[in-house]
Amino acid sequence: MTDLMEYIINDLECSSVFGRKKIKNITFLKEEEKIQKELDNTEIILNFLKENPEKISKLKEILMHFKDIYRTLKKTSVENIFDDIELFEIKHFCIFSEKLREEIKNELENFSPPNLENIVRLLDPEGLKINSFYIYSVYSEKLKNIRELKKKIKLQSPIDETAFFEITQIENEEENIVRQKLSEEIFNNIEKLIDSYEKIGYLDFLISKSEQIISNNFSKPIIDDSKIQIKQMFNPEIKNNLEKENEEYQKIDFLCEEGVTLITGANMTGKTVILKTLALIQNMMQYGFYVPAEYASLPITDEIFMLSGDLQSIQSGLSSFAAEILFVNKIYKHSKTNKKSLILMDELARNTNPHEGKAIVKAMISLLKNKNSFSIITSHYEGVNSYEKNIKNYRVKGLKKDKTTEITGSYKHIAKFIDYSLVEFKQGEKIPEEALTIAKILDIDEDIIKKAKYYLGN
Amino acid sequence: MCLIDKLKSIKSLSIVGIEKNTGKTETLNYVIKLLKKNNYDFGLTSIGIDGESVDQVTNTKKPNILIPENTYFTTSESHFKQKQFLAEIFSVSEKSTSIGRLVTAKSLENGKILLSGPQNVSWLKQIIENMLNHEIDIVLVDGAISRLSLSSPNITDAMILATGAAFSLNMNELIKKTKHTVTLINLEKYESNKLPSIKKIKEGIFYIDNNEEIKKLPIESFLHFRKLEKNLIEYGKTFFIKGALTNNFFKYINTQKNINEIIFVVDDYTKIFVDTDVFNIFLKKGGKLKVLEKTNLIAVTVNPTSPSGYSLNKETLKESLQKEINVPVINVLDGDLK
Repeated sequence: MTDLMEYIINDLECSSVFGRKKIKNITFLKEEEKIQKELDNTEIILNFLKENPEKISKLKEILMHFKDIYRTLKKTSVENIFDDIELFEIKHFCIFSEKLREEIKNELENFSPPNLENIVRLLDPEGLKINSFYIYSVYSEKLKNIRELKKKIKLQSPIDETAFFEITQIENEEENIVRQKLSEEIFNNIEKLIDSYEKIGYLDFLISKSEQIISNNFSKPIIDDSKIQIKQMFNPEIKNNLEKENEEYQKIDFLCEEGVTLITGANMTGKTVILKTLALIQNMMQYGFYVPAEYASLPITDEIFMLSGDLQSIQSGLSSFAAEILFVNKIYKHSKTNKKSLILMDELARNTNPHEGKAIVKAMISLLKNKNSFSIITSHYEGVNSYEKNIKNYRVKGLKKDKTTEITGSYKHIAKFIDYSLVEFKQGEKIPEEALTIAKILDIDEDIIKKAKYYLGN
Repeated sequence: MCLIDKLKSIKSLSIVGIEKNTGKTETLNYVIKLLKKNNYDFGLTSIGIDGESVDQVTNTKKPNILIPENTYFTTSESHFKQKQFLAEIFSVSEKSTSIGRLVTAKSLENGKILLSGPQNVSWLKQIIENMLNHEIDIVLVDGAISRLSLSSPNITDAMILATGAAFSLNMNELIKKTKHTVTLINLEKYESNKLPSIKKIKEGIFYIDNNEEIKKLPIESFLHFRKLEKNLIEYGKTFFIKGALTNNFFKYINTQKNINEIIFVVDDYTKIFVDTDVFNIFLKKGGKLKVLEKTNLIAVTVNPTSPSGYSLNKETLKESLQKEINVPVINVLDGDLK
């Protein structure tokens, strides 16, 4: 699973151990049918919970009671006899599985665990409806008689130790016969039990996804291989952090088609966040999740590549440029296979000199523009734009010009002075030079800014 | 006041041996009989896997606690499976001890059981809570030996200390050591409006200075006391020690001036490891030692018989010990249950 999904996954709150297992095993889906099915299933549970909000806590309460019986079920084979503890666990599981089924069997038939009434009856032969277990005397007339005899022996004073030892042995043997019968019966139903186990985990997973959708305002993405069109997208992790500090998150729109999209803009204007959010949204959709946007129409990709400044180059002993260019190579090789992928390159060639760096950016734009992948590249190099078919040029609006006079050492509130939305970058337009203004907001020593301006003047 | 009256107001009781093989099991069986006779519903569990019965893992020890019919108990999976009586299982823990998960069950006939239990304080508290949910009056905890920290006072409402001939056949020695332990258990509780902030301290040695402020002493433990530049009394008059108080600590303190003006405070009695003689010098010099958490010691039990069969004069033992301590002394082999 990618790091980007980590925040989303950690934010899910499953109530049962099966749900938590389900989360661990989610996979990146590449088939439209599977993604659509997962999204549709999520929608069914979401709508059910929206219409029956009182059910959420009820279902979660039941889900919390499940204990992991996977190992117990797994060990089963006809020769294996369950011991009393295992029989108790199975009974406990079946009782709660039945409770869950009662709650949803009418409205959510497809998500409901199978009927396990017969196993509950098997393990609760007296119909006591108590969540406990022992080898009940009703299982065998012989056992009942043995136990009565044992009771009599125990009542004698002094106890006849030999008789007591013998009767205990006979009782154990008879109990084992009962255990064997119970185990065989359970084994005959093992597939139903495993089915229940999986259904419960999946339901729990969908419930936690639905809760996340409701609390974060995610929306159901539409699959469309021709374009990426997102309205009011946001990065939930950053948004939630900002909101904790009473800051507002500016949601933005994005549109691109196959080929290359170039985003230019000054530092600190959110280009990296755009790429990370695009990667997150694409990932979420392909893991079958709703996405953080008001509307999203997305293609299905074979792979998502994210080239960013935080490549783990130092660990492998590579220079940052070497690590970057090797990754670029990997991306390009993949794009030659004609498999559709989402390629996100943040500040491509940032780690080398501007002269050659610019050339590398231009080269990549030219090589990727005719591939069937979606390549989105950010850069603040001047003059890398190109206005051909299959290339889209954006720039971040950037500093709000009318507000620049208010700017003084307010690094924490920098967001207020920036408009993060994207506008089409027209031919002949110059990238606004805002590095020094930003530096000023960050309260950089006046000397540095003055000197830089001096050299800029030259 | 009889023991049974004292049990009325408490919800959990641990039974702790002063040393290994001091008749803890006999005491537990005595309390079980007493509760049964008075129609109490009670539960049984243990602290961890008792140091006395490590060999239980190898199954050499026989089940020893007599459990009456309809009694809830919590023990580990492997000990549960060794029992020879019918029991209804009510829950199985998710976590596991070194000898399996913990099973909570109700006995459907009387029988013998080996008790084992949670190996940490919070888990044990949870087990006690869960048992009390089964509408029982009191939970008995088969404790470890008195100095193990798991028998810390904040787990159960009250405690019984078991001592006996197995511990020492020299009656005077037995009485002297028991008296010493009882003195430590009964140390006065420290009271102050600063308690909430004091209890938050996790480690180190702290003191209240002359401006009533809590300060940290510039040494990590009294093992480093020689590094101190001043006499203790020059820092303050109340010292809080997180962690253990050893013989060396008291030997050091006993050399200090004006110790009769200083109060030392330790978490609870299980943190004190001091020989009787050294501690007595401390007391004679006017030293004051208090605890943050006081154990409610409701009785001391004596078992005058050692496993080897040798027996002390039971009446003399009980009476001599009773003269020395102000906690009721009970002879567990007395037929008289009260």
